[in-house]
Amino acid sequence: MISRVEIRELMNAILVRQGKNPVDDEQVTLRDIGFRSLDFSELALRVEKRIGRELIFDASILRGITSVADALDFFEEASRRA
Amino acid sequence: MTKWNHLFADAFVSAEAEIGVSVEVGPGAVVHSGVRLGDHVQVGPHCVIGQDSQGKSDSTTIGAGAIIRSHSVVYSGVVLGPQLETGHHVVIRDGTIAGENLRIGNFSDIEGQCSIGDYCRFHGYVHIGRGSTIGDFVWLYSLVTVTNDPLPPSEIFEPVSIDHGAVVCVGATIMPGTHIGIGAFVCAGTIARGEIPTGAVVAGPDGSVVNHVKRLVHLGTGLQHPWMNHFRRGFPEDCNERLEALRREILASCVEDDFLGGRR
Repeated sequence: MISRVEIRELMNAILVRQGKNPVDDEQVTLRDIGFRSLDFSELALRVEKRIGRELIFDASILRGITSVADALDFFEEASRRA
Repeated sequence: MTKWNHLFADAFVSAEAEIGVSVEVGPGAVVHSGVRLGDHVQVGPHCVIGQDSQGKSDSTTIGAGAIIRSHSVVYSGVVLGPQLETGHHVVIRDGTIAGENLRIGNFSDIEGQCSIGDYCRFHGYVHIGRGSTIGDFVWLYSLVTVTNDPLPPSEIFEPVSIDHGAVVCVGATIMPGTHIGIGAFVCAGTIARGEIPTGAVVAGPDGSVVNHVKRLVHLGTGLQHPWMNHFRRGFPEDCNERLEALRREILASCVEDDFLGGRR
């Protein structure tokens, strides 16, 4: 398992490495903070490394992800199901 | 019923060229001796097919159903499979061989002695260096440059190879001797080099391996790579088994340790 806080830390590590600000407001959109699909893929990789299992992506949920909160919800749930 | 060829009066078609049925050769086009044009081939205005190269003139074959748009030049010794489709101003140099249904965008340049598989899609302004080997279902987007000389100008020759199903996005440069594995994804503007594993995603000026394609998603639509999960437009149904086998091979690839820390 991985906590929501840990997932956000992983997300922030990706942002900071690119010279962007870490995020603390979960309501902002991924677009606003410059978190691109490639970053989302990298976050998925880092979460998988942390939990030691492969995540299963559900296209219908992916379609609805726009905010930081949506992304954190997705990875929390996906890691629970993995 | 006989289907007549439509050769414009000011096209030059050598008497030693072999022309299939229902072939069109547009105004100002030149078809040299030793050229074989399959049935239903369309050669656009001002194209040159079978152009001599350095005094050598080998036979040139254009498969059935090809559409070669205006101002394109195909050199001698080239063999192109059926259903080829080029944009305008495409150049294909001597000795290059391609499989079926190759599509090449405007102003692209394929140097000589290349080997290209079936169903490849090259967009406009692509440059492919001499001797490159490209598998089936490979996508090269606009302004991709595939090189072969590690110390230009030199006679050192290190051609690139790109395996089946790989995707190379706009403006990427593939350095000499690079091997791109099956289904790998080269991000826009990447300078790719060395060995790129099956299913890897590479990005940036150092061509780092940053991920596996199975994690590439588009959040707005939920689409997920490998690309044949969601895109098969333009491929005939009899490709489905090959694409499915390719998809499974990409998904089964496991090079996770290469991705530790997100950098090679």
